[in-house]
Amino acid sequence: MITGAVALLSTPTLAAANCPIDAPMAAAGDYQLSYTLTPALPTVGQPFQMTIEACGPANAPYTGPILVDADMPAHRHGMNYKPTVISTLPGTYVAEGFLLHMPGDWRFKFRLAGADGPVRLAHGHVQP
Amino acid sequence: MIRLLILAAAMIGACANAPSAIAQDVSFSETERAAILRFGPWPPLPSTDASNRVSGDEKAIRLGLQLFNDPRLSPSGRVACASCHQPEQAFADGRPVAIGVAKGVRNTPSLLDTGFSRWFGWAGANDTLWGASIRPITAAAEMASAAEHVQTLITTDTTLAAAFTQTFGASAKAMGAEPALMAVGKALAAYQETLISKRTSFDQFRDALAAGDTTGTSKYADSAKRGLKLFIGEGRCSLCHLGPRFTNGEFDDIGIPFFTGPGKVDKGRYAGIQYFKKSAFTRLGAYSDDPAGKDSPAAIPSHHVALQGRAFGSFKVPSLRGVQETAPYMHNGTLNTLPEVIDHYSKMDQDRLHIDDAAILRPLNLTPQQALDLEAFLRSLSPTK
Ligand code: HEC
Ligand code: HEC
Repeated sequence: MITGAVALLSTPTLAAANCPIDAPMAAAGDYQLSYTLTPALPTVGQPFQMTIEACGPANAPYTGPILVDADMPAHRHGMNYKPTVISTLPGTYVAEGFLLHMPGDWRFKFRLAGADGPVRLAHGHVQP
Repeated sequence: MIRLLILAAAMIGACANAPSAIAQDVSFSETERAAILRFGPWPPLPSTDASNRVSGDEKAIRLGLQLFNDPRLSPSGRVACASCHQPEQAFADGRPVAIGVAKGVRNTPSLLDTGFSRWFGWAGANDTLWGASIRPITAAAEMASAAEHVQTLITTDTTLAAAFTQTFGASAKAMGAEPALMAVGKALAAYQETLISKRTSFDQFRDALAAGDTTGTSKYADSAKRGLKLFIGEGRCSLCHLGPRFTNGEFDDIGIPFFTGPGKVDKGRYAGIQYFKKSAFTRLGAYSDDPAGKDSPAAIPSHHVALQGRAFGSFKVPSLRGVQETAPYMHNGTLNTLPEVIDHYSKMDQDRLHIDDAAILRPLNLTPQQALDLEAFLRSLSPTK
């Protein structure tokens, strides 16, 4: 896993989260996040990575655990794979193991450990 | 003059065949065009498998071909890979389910283009072609063999022994039984990677469409064009059958029964993942030759595949290239012809589906003409003889 993290670090340029995020892709209460995908336009049926920037209370980088997943709400199914998340720098995470197996309307889902319980965030993704 | 007459006759013929489509050109929207282009190009660029050190190696390909046709790999001396994967039958066997040393429960898939897969077998029990080539050697119902038997064969047959040592730089005896079996799997894989299906009339149409060559696109039959429109549109076939091989490489349930006998079920992908997680012969194991080992990008799906309830009774979305040659159809070979397959999708019993698949698949209630069009399209995915 450690070697995996090192391999990942070499792909996208990573920096500590720049909080608050100007136009977050998802936000709830004190928490906000944005992400980028590598490759930026994933191919259906092919694996890709996600780099996440997350902020928490007092505009500080969020440093707790993040669970990520994706599903197709209209089809009521998720992915056949379970991504893993590695924290790299404060507020920055890299998730690996995404694979969207159908074209259409997907949703990336995030679960953060908020001060008062789980914080659930989501952002839509249209997979061509 | 004679030419003109033939042309006129051909036109009358065409009209008679397609009464509903007289002088009506089938055209595609920009969105449809983009969707169609994604079924190509064909063939894909050649690539090698990093987990197999002899992938693409000429000596290994020759040895693999020999082994593929050699019934002595099975202790009975009667079953070769080619007994079920018959070259003249698109490397399938035309039977509903395979018969090796005993009768199996699954249909023999074609091996054409198998090298491009991520998961092998109807349940995806293997993540490498060499792993999938070792599985039948030891499977009880297929060849019922063992590593020691294979090692002895490779050691005692002088021709095989020489070819093996030349390919792998060591004899099967020096290697040990299990590594020798892995090597045999890798030579078999190197050979199977060369089995690539030929270009089809669909590919010609697709490339002409990409190039904006209207003379080229006009050569593709209108019926196939209408079938293609259905395939990517109303039929929703391309939600699963996508990309140059017409498969997303994943697993689904389309309502094919998975009972294999009284009280017995084929758990499909669920059992496949269980088998995979227990196997040592994978991209994550010590026999992978990938220099990046289990951290190789090619191993990412193997690391992250999740055992979930929806895998139960799901089977691999098969490639549709060459589908005309590989009847009977489905994981258990229960549908005999392409019209039967189309009828299955047309009259789909949604109660048989997983809840999530019921949100995707519904009875298409095709008209007879639509069913014929879809069939014409599916047939155009096979090379013209
Ligand atoms: C008794 C018939 C039989 C024999 C003999 C046999 N196979 Fe198969 N093969 C099958 C069946 C059935 C499947 C599907 C297995 C499954 O889904 O569990 C299969 C699947 C495969 C696959 C996966 C293909 C894919 O695209 O999913 C490969 C590769 C393969 N066989 C190679 C071989 C090789 C190499 C040999 C010889 C060492 C061999 N087979 C011997 C019947 C046979
Ligand atoms: C939800 C995904 C999905 C959709 C949508 C779908 N298929 Fe399939 N298709 C599959 C799966 C999975 C199988 C194998 C099922 C089994 O063996 O149990 C299959 C099997 C087939 C086969 C048999 C191939 C063989 O070699 O056995 C054909 C032909 C086929 N589909 C054509 C179509 C057509 C035409 C459509 C649209 C009307 C369609 N499919 C829509 C997933 C799908």
